[in-house]
Amino acid sequence: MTLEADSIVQVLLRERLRVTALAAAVTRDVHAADDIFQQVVLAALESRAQFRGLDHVLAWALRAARHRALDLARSRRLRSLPDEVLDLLESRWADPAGAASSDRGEALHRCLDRLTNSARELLQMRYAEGLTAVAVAERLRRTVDAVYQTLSRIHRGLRECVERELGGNEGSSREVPL
Amino acid sequence: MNPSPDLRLAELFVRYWDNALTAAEAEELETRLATDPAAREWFQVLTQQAVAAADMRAARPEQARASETAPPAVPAHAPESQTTGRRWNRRRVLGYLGGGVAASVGAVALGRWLWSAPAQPTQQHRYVRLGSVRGDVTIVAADGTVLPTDGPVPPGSTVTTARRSASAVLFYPDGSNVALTEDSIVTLGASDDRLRLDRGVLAADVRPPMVGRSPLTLETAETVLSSSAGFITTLYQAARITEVGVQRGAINVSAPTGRSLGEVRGGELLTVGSDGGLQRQAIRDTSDRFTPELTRALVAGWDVGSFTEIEKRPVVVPTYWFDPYHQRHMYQIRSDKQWVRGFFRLQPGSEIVVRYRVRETGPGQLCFCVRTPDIRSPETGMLEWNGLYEKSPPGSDSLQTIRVSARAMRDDKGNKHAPKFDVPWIGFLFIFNTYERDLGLQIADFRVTPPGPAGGNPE
Repeated sequence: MTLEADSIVQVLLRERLRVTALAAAVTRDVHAADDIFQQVVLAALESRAQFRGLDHVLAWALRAARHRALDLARSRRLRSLPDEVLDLLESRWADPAGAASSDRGEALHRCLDRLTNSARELLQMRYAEGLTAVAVAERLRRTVDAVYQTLSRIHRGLRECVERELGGNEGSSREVPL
Repeated sequence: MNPSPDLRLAELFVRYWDNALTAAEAEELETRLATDPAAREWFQVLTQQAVAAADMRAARPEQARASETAPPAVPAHAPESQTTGRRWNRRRVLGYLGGGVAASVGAVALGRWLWSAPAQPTQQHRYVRLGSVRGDVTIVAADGTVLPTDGPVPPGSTVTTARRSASAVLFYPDGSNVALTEDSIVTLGASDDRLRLDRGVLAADVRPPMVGRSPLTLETAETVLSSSAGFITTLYQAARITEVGVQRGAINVSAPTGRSLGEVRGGELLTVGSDGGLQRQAIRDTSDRFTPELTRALVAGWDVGSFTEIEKRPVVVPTYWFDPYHQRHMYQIRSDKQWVRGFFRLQPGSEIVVRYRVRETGPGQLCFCVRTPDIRSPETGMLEWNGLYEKSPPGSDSLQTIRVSARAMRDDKGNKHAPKFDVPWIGFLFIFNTYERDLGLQIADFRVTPPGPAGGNPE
């Protein structure tokens, strides 16, 4: 039986972070990954007769996003991760119990809200504006290595914040440490 | 969960994101991801953080915003990504799903992720930029300066995609994008809300304007196209006509004088002649058969060649003209460029049959320019037959035959621009060429048939 279009859309929107993140992991460009997600949703709707169930939709979407992302990465001459590594990542991304649960997504957003202005600024430049670390360093008059170091610490701090959020830790209202 | 996410993997990740890993670092990252499940989990989390961070509303201190009002230094190494950035297009989802489904899904599921307002563009984002550059593409500023193709495209610049298989995409700050196909020329207006197609074909996905901004208006010699609601269109400018094909949305078309030529809606094609003549038709799928009736004066719209009758038999004969690709005069028959409709749809086993006659034997070509089935994609390629047009045996005035498959034309040794995309190929232009020698070529019949029992070569 062909799945309803709205069921497919609901599944994909619920898993949007998961699909977009896989595409972003390959393209290293969040906006391009958003475009890919958009294309995948439309392609899924056009291909809905082939889906065996809603679980199949997510697996199909991840594979479709990966292929489109790889095409883009090749066209931009980006060094891609080996296929066997991408297979493992895709497998992990497809795991329903993986790191992309809605609770985790909500926690991540709360933690992002709690970042210092300078950390938010840095993430914005990096991921929303798509600036390289070199460009960020020029804008902030810092060294490139310092930008890389700070970004790494922000990422780690965000993860620790999310872990505390999910663990109900009393320190959850603190600002994210860097 | 790993209770202590390691900083080293985060360091590798942020460099990987910039494509800035050394060979040793790349190997380290790949090895860790291949062998360590915790590293894969951390890598997934890092990527999700990047996506979520890009979704954040800008909350930038005034001081920082003020610092961006200075003229931007656009680094040459800045990735194309910053120009391709665009948010989820609500129109597409709504258009696809229809109102009912969208309404049922929209309020909860779509709301938070997709319809959040994008971050305010920085000054750097206000430039039109060029991306997806393939082949011979040039940008010349209004003052005649040749500009790099990986930087901003200032107002007044002219972008040219020369030669076969060249293409590029203009990315606008509001998310609109305009793909230029081969052999096309566009000129940006004095502001970035106008773009004139001087020659060739473009495919535009035009977004509704940002608040307080004007919508992108497209122009040709015969038309001015605008809409405040966004649209997807293909536009073809030839010497004597403009074709406006609308895939989605609706466009108000007017003459340069301001006279309205009407509205063109999704699925329609409007042809505007330089004499003011209008023809409106539905865009139909391209057929996998092509059997032009040479008894009709069909070459009227073709670029090169002429229709005539020799001994009461209708034929098409070449014209001596300057070929822009070879940069010299040649004897050619060349169709017009039917980008939107296409002449025929080809599979590898499609068969092409040409019945011809020449006064003397000599080398020649039959060439097809092909595109992908996605009318918005600027990718093109060539299918070529390179061989001898042979004179009929002495005492005979019979026609000679070329019978060749699309596959053989793709694989022809002389073909330097075979399509790099999969079938089907949509043939939008074809050429008979005898180079600089007038062989007295007469084309009496030309047809394309699909593979299989009903047509040409079985797959």
